[in-house]
Amino acid sequence: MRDAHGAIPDISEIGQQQQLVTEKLNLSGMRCAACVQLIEFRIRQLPGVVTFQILPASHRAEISWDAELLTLKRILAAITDLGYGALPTSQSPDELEQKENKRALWRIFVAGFAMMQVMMYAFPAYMVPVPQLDGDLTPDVDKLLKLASMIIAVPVIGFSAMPFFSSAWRDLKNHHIGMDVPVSLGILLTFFASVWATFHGGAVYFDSAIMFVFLLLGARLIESRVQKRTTAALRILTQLSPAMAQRFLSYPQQAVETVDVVSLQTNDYLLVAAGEHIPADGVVINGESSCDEALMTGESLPVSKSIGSHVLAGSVNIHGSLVMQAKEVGGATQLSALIGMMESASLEKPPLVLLADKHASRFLIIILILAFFSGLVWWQIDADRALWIAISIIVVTCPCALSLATPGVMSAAIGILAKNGVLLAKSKAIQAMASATHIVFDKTGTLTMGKLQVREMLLASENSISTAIAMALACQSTHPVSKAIGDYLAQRKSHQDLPGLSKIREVPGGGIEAEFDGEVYRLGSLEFAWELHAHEISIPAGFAEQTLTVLANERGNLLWFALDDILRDDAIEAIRNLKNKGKTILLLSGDRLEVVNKIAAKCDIQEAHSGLSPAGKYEIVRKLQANGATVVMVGDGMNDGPVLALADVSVAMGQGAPISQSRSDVLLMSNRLLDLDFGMTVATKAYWLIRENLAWAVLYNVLAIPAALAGWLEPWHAALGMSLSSLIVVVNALRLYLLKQVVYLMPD
Amino acid sequence: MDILYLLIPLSLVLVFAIGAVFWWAVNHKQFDDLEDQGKSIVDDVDG
Repeated sequence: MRDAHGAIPDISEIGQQQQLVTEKLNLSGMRCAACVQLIEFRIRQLPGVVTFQILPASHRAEISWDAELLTLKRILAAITDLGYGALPTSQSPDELEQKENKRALWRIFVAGFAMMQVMMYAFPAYMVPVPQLDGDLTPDVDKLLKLASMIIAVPVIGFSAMPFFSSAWRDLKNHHIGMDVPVSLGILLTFFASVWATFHGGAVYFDSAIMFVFLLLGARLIESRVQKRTTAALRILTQLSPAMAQRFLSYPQQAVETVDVVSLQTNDYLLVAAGEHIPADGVVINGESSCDEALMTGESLPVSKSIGSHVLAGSVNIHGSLVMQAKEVGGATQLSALIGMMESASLEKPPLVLLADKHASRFLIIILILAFFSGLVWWQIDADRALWIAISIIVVTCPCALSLATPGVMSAAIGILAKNGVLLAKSKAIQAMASATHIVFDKTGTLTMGKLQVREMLLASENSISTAIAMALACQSTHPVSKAIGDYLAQRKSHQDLPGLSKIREVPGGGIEAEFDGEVYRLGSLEFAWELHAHEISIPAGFAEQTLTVLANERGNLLWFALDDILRDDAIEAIRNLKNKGKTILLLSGDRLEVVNKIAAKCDIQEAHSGLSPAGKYEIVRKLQANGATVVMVGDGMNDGPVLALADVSVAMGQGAPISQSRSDVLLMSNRLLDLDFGMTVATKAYWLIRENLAWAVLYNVLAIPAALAGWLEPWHAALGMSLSSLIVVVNALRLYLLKQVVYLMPD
Repeated sequence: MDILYLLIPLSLVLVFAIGAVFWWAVNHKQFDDLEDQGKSIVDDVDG
């Protein structure tokens, strides 16, 4: 390798005066060959770098440097200064997995190579019984070939098949018959019986044993690759956060320092250059750019950001410099919450899989007993074949469809959904989504954008402090209505001192209440205000069809706010699709009749209920379930807590409550209802594939086991059958990827 | 067919030798990057 000046270093000099350190790095952000050249060129120029080589295919680099002239921190900083990400490999969760992967590939290679060779040795014995060929195999040569086969089989048994043996041993120690027990038994019996036959005469089946190991390893590899596609998304997420960040020493002065991302704190002012990953959740203070949030929200097009926009840790700042203030750092960012959620979902096993595992165990015990007794029976009939028939029975049965296929389908489903912005927090949701009959939508923030804007404000009575009180109350809540009112009032009367309020409390589904100057004030829905003053209400002209919020005290309504509520652009299409799937759609809202009916008419929803309290919504869902319905509830995750818990599947919009507080089963990260529709399609197909796999498993075993009992199967038939059956079931799971994925254009 | 007594053991030796060489090659990163060494000829490197 060339050194910093392009010359090949003199070996004798290295190691004598220098403290040579070598490290492997994971690089990110390299989009082309020119990036690779740039980084290599610049880093090799650093004083102290001895060798630096990038492996573009794996996004890794190897660097060795003189520890007295340079530190790892400086090297990483140099790379990030260029606009790329760099992390030491040892810190990445990849490392151990890479080693495991390599071993697995080696095992398959050894098994495959040995399989080909052993076929060559076994071939003459196959040919001898054929009458057309004038073949002759003397006992000496026969033994020679068998010996050669045995020697080839040893590395396969000793190395390639080891995972099966250690897994079976682990199962047996836990008093549990797992899938690998009959597999290991089959392999070992075949091997040792063949060894005996090598020296004492008889048929040998080394080829069957090796082929069995090879095919099974192949099936397992494909299955783990499918699983990896899910966790690959997870791993990419963990590498999104940069290692370093630029922090302003005292904003608005321009001086910045480079700091470790772990030392960032809330309210730090940060500078994010073009091409960098954003280091924390926060708000843009200055600058204009667009950010790529694809991996977090599934939004495939960049989102434009300007002053006041929220930015997410881990997203990429594309073209302009941004100055931002950090609001959430480290473990509190949305990125961290997302990672945590995906990790726990992937560890969880849905009920169907657990059930399958339990049955598989019982099934295997029965098979082993069956094999033993049929071996005894055949011993009476034809002693030579008894052992081979027993082995065939053990080997041919496959609980693989139960233990292999279901996880395969589940992983594929979770992965595809995640790519389309649907985050499955609980994998059992797939089952419920597939069998859903009713879908219940909330209105504000779900069917509508939730970006409420105050269209008009009316003072019901002359009261100079009413707007100030309204603003003070609005600032106490993060509800979209409060935010809209707060923004509106801030624009009209800025810099006014907000009165101090006491006894502040927020009532879900109602509003906010507080006391000022001895009087109780409420900011919220008409009903909420009415509870306070119980006066006759006449809605001002022109306000009837709007979403209304009032500020009231005990004497009556003081301020009226009319709020605009925009329907999501894909709501109509999504609901149409869902109805075409045969689902019954409901709209439940706490808002007023006119507003709710207007939205229901636009979306073509037949059943809509207005003026509901959370208890009212709960009651409706409960009645549906009492009639046998499976209910999917789509809401904003926070205000409808009890109803969401009651529903069979709860779906929360991603823009709603902070992820960490959401208790729902599914998070619609992309906020697009069409993605929910796609999610239902995926869940239905996934469930169908699982049922197909189970049906195939039953059919296969029903045919194969009697065949083995009757002595119709040679060990190699059994090996082939079992392996192919596993493979079929795993490949069937891949059919899920054939589903057309939703591609949409962002509205201007 | 006496020659088989030589050829078959020889084939075994060959199988293991091939396996060993492949193992060496992978472990010494021979297969890691098949393109860049060739490309480096056309790179703009000073000196």
